[in-house]
Amino acid sequence: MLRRAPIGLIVSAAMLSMTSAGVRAHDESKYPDMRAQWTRLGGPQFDPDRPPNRGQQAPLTPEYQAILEGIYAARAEGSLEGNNTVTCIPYGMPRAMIVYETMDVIIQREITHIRVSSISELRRIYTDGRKWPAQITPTFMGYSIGHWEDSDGDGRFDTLVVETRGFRGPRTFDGTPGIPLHRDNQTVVNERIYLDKGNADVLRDDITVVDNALTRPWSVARKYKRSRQPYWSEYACHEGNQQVLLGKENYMVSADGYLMPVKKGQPPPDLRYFNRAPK
Amino acid sequence: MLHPILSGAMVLAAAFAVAIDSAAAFDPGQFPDWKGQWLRRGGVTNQATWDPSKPWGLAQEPPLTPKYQAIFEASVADQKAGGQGSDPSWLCIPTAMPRVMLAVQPFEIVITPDTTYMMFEIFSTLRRIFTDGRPLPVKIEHSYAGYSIGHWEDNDGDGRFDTLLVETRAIKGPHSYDNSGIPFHEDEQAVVKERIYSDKANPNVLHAEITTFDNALTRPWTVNRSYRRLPVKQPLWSEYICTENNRHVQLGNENYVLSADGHLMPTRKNQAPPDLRHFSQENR
Repeated sequence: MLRRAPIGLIVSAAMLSMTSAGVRAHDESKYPDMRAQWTRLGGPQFDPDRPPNRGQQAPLTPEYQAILEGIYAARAEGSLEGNNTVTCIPYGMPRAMIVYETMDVIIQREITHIRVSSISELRRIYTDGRKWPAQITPTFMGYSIGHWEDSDGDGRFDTLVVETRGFRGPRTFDGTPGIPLHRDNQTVVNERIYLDKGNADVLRDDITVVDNALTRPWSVARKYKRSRQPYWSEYACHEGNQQVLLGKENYMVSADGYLMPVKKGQPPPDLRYFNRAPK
Repeated sequence: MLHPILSGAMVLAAAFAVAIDSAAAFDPGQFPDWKGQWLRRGGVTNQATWDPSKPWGLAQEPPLTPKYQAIFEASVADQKAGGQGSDPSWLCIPTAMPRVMLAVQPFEIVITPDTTYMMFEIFSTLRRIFTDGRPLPVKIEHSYAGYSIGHWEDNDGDGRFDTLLVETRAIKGPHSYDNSGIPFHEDEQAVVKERIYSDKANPNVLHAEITTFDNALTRPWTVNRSYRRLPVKQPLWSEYICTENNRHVQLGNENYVLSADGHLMPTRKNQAPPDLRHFSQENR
């Protein structure tokens, strides 16, 4: 049986604990330390465990496989078809999680922000227990709801489980070749984000994409490495971007400021709104 | 003298508190509650002017040197004639510091012990304000958001921080204070100092006293801006994609616009069409 004084001590300590918990609504010790800067491990193809291009073996429906073949053909001629981001349109999800530049993860009790520096994309993952809104304004990054799990039972959260819906398009899985997602934008992306058990400087994201362009859900496992003394660069996509989209035609601007074709035999732009004929 | 058991209890409690403090190093109770969605409050006009107490354009009366006053006047005159003046954001160049603090679209503030983040919808600009006690680096890559170091103060002595003081350097150009094109010096040596704090009477109002030091100015220029927290529990955040609906096209030094049907159009009377020298003759 415990003596009175130690019981008092335990009660005092428990009260102290409760008071602290009340004041400290966000107890950092409950969450994994995902601070600092993360950069991609592996290549910029969507599935880093498979070779790029045809090696990806994306499980596309025949319709979308045909679209992809059209993209291959257009690219062979120099076109940028299939890569919507050449004019600084965001990558959107799930492509943003390729992490072309850097990423930071900011965990708070009610929300986790994932900021991807390329094209300055920001994900807000709500972990406040909210339900799916009746209406979601579609965005390239989608609307993300998540929850934390303590998968190893050590009393600390270790895994952020996320579902993302509410997309707009066009989006692709990757940049080269530009594996398409369905134009209906009904994509659902499920993720499990956690630190590697053996190396806390490696972050893992197991991503499963459900999309009507696919014959089955497509799962990939991406990894990122931590830099503890980061230097944050700014990515201003439009600055120095030489791509110009006129109607449905892509052109480039030469170093001396003139329009150039991007593919062989490409006609010049229609200048019908100018008073005199072009030079 | 304290009773040994009581003394032991205090030591244990103290040790426990230390353990909690080290485990939960971030005490949100120490910091002001700036969560939510913030948007600028209007000034004497509803236009997003740099000094909200004065009307747009020349009436801003920026304390510019004669050289930069001439650039400013030319910018306003060009805009009146249908041009873009010296406001670089029309080509989707991000609105840099301090202009991003106009907050013409909503922004979010996330406070952590080491860094306060300001996440702006416009141009998706992210400000990282480092509050970890670091010195200014010897070499800084210039960026539109600049490099910001800050610290917290408890001005009313209630044991909680209430004011964030920030100094921002290494701001990349070209940039302007607002869309009238009030210019900065091209040497990119501007320094911006801010005091950011909650309104004493209304926690849903945030104030920012912003002082800019720049070699285009004859003296430091101070403006007082304020923001209101939108009264929504689950704010709606939009995506700002500048290029998506931007109709401006710059080719060399010439500006054109895109028509609704996707063709280039002149922006001024008798503007020459673009030079198509890089297209083969038979395709023209």
